[in-house]
Amino acid sequence: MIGPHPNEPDLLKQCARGDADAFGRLVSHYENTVFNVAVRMVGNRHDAEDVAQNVFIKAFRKIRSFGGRSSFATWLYSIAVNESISERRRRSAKSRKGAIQMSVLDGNDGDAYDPPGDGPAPDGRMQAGETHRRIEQAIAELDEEYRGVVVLRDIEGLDYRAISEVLGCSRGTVKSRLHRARLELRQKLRGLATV
Amino acid sequence: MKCDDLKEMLSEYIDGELAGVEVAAVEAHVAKCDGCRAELAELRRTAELVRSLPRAEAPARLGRHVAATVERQVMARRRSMFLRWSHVGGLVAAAAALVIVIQLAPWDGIPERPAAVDSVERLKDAEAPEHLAEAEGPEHVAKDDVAAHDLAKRGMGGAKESYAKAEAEEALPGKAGRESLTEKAAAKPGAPAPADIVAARSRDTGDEDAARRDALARKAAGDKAAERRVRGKVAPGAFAVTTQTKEGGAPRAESKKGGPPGVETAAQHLAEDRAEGTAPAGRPPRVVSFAYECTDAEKGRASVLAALKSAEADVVAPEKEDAEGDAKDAVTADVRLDKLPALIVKLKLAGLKPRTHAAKNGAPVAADAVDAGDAAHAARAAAKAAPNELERKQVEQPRELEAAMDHQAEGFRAARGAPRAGVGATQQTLGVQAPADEADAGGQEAEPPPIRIRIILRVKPAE
Repeated sequence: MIGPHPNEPDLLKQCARGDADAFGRLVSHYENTVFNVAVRMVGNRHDAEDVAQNVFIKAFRKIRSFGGRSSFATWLYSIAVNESISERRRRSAKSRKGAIQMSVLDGNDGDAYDPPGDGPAPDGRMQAGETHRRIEQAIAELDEEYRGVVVLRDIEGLDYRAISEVLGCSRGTVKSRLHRARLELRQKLRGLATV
Repeated sequence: MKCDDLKEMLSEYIDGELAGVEVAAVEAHVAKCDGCRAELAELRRTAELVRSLPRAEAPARLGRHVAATVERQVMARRRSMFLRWSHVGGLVAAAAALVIVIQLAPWDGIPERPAAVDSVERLKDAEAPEHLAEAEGPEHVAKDDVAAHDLAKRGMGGAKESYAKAEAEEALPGKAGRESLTEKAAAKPGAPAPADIVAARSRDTGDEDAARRDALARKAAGDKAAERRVRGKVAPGAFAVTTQTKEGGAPRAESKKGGPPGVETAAQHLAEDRAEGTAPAGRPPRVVSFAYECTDAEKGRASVLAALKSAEADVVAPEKEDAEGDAKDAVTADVRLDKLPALIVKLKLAGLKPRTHAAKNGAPVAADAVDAGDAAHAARAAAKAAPNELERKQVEQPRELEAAMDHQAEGFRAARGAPRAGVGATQQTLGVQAPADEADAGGQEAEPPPIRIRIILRVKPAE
């Protein structure tokens, strides 16, 4: 889980007064996190970009309602998960095909998933790409409630308490959802070696 | 610990969410259970696979797009706040302006007709409906229509229709309405005759005005021929007269010498009625309304009654409210013409303020000018203030009223030492045959006849 901005309390106060520059600094700090959650939740970069933009705009619009009961990051995660679920529902209603447009997995826009330059050799990179595509496919096929806990726990690294805050459910619910999600993923990813 | 219970705890164990005792229990069970150990290894590998996904980095344009959108929202919010406050400020300014206007403008609620003489209408008889003499702004048409209906029920069928039509046409905008009105009056040569209700509006130029003044002066001196010559000169296009026929009256010859058909003064009608013997002499034929403002209803009323008493007027009907039930003080009285100027002076000295009246569409008619005796000037000023011809027609003083105002001015002068000057003009104005006419007609000297006046008091609290 990403840590807070060093001047986050002051920036939040300035944002509440309508300071766009202060909010821009918060956006710079959290944009990768929000975008990453969105990509894993909606399954493609294009929609994830729209989701991330909407998340920040909504956050700025409602920043006065942010009471500080949780961290700003948790609040942003919450908006991001809900916005991603809404986006997927809109997209599903639009296409009605059930197929997830995994442009990332199709290789159309997979730059964000390329391993770093000092990683494996080209053959290894191709193998890693295939493994990543299968993992992303498996995550994308999870139910919404399972996908959320998997992304928040295994991709973002939130603990169970933070996940329960983001999703608005109990810690026990988080535990059971996460366990079932992993069992389902295990079935989908059986045969893949650890990258 | 059973295997099923342990498997529920494996994810928590992998994530480090178990307490120390639970961790020890899980590790002890896994150490001796191959199935649970394999399960734990698979779950751990699955978690590692998911965690192995590289993090997606946001495109650089995301931050720019968000910044631009947020900036637009901030600007829109500021505009909205500005508009909201400017709207509130506008409302406050408008309210302040309204308060100032209300405090400064002597608006009297009689928008359409001058207050000094709200209406000049002839009562059919003494018990004629009082509201015939009322002209209370927008309602006056309805009231007049009711009055016409009353008259019609008494056997003046055609009269009601022509009166109502004329009133409706008077409300039409533009020249067409005025011409139509005039033509209507002229187009009824066979209509039953003389006027019970005469509503007159006039428009004139300064030269015509001067000529007419001269005529009135000559008429007061007995020069009826000169008056008729001038009437013929002034009349075309200047008067719109509606006539209400009287039961049993002879049809009026609409084309009179000296004036176009249907364009006549009330005085002319009455003089002819008298000449024809159809208009009884001596009874008060019309009610002339005067509107005043006072700060205290009781004091104002006492002042009016005292002034009437000093003017030897006969109070006919003190009223506390009008036909519509609106609180209002009004006193109807018969007063001799030669006492009228003194009465007006008394009312003024008693502190009653003639109401400045806003004619239709807000074009003002200066009551002060009336008091100062410059009625014609007031009429011209009102006409200039009116934005179009119809409104000029509506706000301009009727010829007869103008003469009445002249007479009031004369009254002021008379009160200062020249009594009874201008009585003839007033009589002509009010449709009462002047002594000079009577002298011409019968050679007899008559006492100035009484007229019925109605003094309306409106209470305006002192500021």
